[in-house]
Amino acid sequence: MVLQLIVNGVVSGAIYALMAVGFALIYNSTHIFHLAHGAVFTLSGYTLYFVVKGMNLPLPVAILFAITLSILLGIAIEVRGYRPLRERKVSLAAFLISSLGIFIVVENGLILLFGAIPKLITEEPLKAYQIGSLVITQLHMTVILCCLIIFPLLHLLFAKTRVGKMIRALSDHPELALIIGLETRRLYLFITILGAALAGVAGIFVGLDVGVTPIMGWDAVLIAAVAVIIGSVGYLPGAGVAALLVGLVQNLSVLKISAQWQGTITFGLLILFLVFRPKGIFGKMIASRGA
Amino acid sequence: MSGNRSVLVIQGLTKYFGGLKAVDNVYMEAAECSITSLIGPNGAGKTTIFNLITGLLQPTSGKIYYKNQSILALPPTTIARIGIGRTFQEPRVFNRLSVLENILIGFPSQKGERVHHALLRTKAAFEEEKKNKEKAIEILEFVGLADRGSDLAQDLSHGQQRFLSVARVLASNPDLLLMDEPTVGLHREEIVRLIDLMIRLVKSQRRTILLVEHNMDVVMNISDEIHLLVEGHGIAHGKPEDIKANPKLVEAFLGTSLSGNRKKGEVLCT
Amino acid sequence: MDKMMKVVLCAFFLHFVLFPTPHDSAAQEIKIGIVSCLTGPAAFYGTYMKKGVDLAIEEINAKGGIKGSKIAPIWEDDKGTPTAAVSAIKKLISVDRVPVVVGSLTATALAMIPVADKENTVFITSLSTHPDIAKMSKWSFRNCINTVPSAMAVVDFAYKQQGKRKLGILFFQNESTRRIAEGVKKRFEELGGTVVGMEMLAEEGVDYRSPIIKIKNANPDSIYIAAFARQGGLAMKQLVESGVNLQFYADPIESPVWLQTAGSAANGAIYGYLDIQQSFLDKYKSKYNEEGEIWGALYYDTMYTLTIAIEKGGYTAEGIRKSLIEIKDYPGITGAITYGPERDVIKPPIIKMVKDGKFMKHQ
Ligand SMILES: Nc1ncnc2c1ncn2[C@@H]1O[C@H](COP(=O)(O)OP(=O)(O)O)[C@@H](O)[C@H]1O
Ligand SMILES: [Mg+2]
Repeated sequence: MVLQLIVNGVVSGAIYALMAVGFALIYNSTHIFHLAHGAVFTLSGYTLYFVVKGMNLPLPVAILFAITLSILLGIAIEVRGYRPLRERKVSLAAFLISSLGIFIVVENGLILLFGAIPKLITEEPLKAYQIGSLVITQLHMTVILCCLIIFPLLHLLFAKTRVGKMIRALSDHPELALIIGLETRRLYLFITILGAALAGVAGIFVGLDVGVTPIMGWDAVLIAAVAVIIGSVGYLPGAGVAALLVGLVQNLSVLKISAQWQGTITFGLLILFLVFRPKGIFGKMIASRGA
Repeated sequence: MSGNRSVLVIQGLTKYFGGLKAVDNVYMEAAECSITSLIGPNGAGKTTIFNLITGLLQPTSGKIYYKNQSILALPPTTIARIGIGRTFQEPRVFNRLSVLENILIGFPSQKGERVHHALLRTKAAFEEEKKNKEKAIEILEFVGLADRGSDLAQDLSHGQQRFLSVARVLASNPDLLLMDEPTVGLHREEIVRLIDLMIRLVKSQRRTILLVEHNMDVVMNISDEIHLLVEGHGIAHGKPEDIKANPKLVEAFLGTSLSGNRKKGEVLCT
Repeated sequence: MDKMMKVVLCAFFLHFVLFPTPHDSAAQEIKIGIVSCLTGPAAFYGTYMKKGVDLAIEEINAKGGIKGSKIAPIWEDDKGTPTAAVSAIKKLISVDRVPVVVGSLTATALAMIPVADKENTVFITSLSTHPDIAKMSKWSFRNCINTVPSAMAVVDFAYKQQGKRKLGILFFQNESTRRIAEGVKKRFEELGGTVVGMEMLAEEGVDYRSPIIKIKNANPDSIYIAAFARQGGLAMKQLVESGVNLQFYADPIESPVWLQTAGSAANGAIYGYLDIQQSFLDKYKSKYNEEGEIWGALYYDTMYTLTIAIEKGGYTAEGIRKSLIEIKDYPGITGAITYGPERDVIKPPIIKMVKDGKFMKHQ
């Protein structure tokens, strides 16, 4: 059972990580508490649902649609929502309100279009493989596989490419980045696109796995935020590692306590960290920057 | 040096913050290949002038010309690109980038910036990257940080971070360097090295420096021209000798005595 | 104010308080208040309810209504929330002056019954399976069986007919489903079986894999799922995905939502509930072009028994109440209906199952 729980934990953790890394990417470089990340996630799930169920198109087409729409929403949020605020140099609270507003609009739009009732995309049980006592669905294998491709690519992007370095520079010291002449507008746009694509992928996986609801974004974005804090704000891989940890702890906790507390455990973990290790797992690696 | 062209010309520069006149009708010039120093008590408006030149602030009135072109309407990014570099009162570096990356990032617009170049790692981008790396190492050698290239900037000492911030600015190959109190927090021998660095920047690299500095030893030693600023007004300017000839003036406003000496006749830039 | 005026006003007032009935029964339409979750997360229940009610009223009115007066339902949407339900029933009683209100889910019914009790208005629901619904007031009726008897019937069937001895229970985090789960456990153990594990499906969750794995690891020979349609369906789907291919027993969650959610995972699942007559299913299909289901069928019967009660007892709350209690073995499409003095319908559950994506009698 432990092995099965670990595998399940890795799967949920991997999906959380997709969300968390996207959230961290945007949070680290803009300091926006990007709640609308949840809107992108939800929209992706519903796009998939609509294209598969409403238009009867094959899954790969639906996936393409879902990612495209996620990215478009991401761009809209950046260009219409955040950029004007940034250029007017308003407080971060204004960004949060704007982000929340976008989230609520998208959520209610989806309720208007599709109703509040949860929808399933795959009604038939997912195909599952048995390996010894271990059972893993095809979808979950795909999740792990995708993450094994996506995260190393992201690592390469940030470690090796100039864009990656520029994004790290922007996250590290936005003002300085502007002064040394980095094209911050384009960088912010690139970041949102990347973040939205990641949220889109997560939305697709969750939609295929357990279906979509208009409120699915809340949990997803809250877990992402928790992972960003646990994984040390400002350290991108930390968010991913912490998300994996949250997934594992949630699943393994079943060994000791009833499954009903899974949701509570996430926030319990957050509080533990806030009290005993407020800088997160990787806190030591991030010296606080002077003034 | 009076024969030299002026790289920077400031005329009637004024900046109000609400009712506060932080900079009030200031005139000054910085001649090519020279070190021009701005001195004055805290709150005199020195940093504000730097912010106005680099486009971080818009003046209430006045004009700023760089190489005979007005740069008033230009955004900070463009001002940086056309050759005005700046270091800050506190060393500003990208903490979580390596020392080498700090320099690389400062190189002006590159092929690697294009997403597809970055993702596909085209040959052109690859070659450019290699060239940049060589240049970056050269700059690090120039400021004396060559052996720290792969360390994270946050792991450097305060003094090393200052040298790194100078190096970072050099990456954009500026003709005009604005340096805001670069000796703050440096040890004696680091100050000596910094002076040497500044002299090399002007002398062998033919750059122009506009310096804000409190250490009068440094100022008197290396300046070609000094402007004294008090409460936003330029109240005196001249060569170090001129300022030294009127020590009361400096003492009255700065509360420091002048003991700096620079070998007479030494020319920084020929 | 003129003294005369006061007298007239008092007279009017007295007239309404003391003699509301002759006045109202002379009206052209028989108004019936209906409060349901037409929107909101449980809207699908409201939709089933509306389809059953509409079908019955259409038929009754086509046959001339009640003594020549047509039935006019007044629908109020409570969105599934108790507060909205309370305002709705208050409006129906004070503004529309209806003597009877038809309600829906447990949460809203529990909130509305005290109002009906205070205002002496008949209340009836066919959707709430909470054990206390009819007990709460002498004005409160129910036309759907409490889930406990059908769950017990299923447990007996599992132990005696199918020889199951090691039961794993999954229950949804809700007062009524928890009660059922506890009842199932008690009954199964009394019979001599072992309940190897009992795990909760969290209310806000959609991923039930952790409780499922815990149950799986306890090695049961069959699974009982106490949950509503959607959660029960999701649990079945994820059970199968987690490699649990055992006999599933479930609550009365007979609704298309269950099948839509579980897909083929629901096939073979056994549950207990009421039978639905084919004649109703045919009528339903031809009117709505979709398969009929139990909740619509129950409300269909409810509307017919209300019609009988109004015809016999008159269009007053007390008349309706008395006549409903007197109804004996009315041949409804969901079985013979008798409310009795307990005002809670008594019908024997039957064992049903899902086969090829359809609900049917077992064997
Ligand atoms: N952004 C600002 N808003 C308001 N007041 C400012 C701002 N920047 C500087 N000042 C004020 O302008 C005056 C000059 O400041 P500054 O240029 O930093 O002086 P210094 O010569 O010490 O560098 C000070 O009184 C300071 O408080
Ligand atoms: Mg200053």
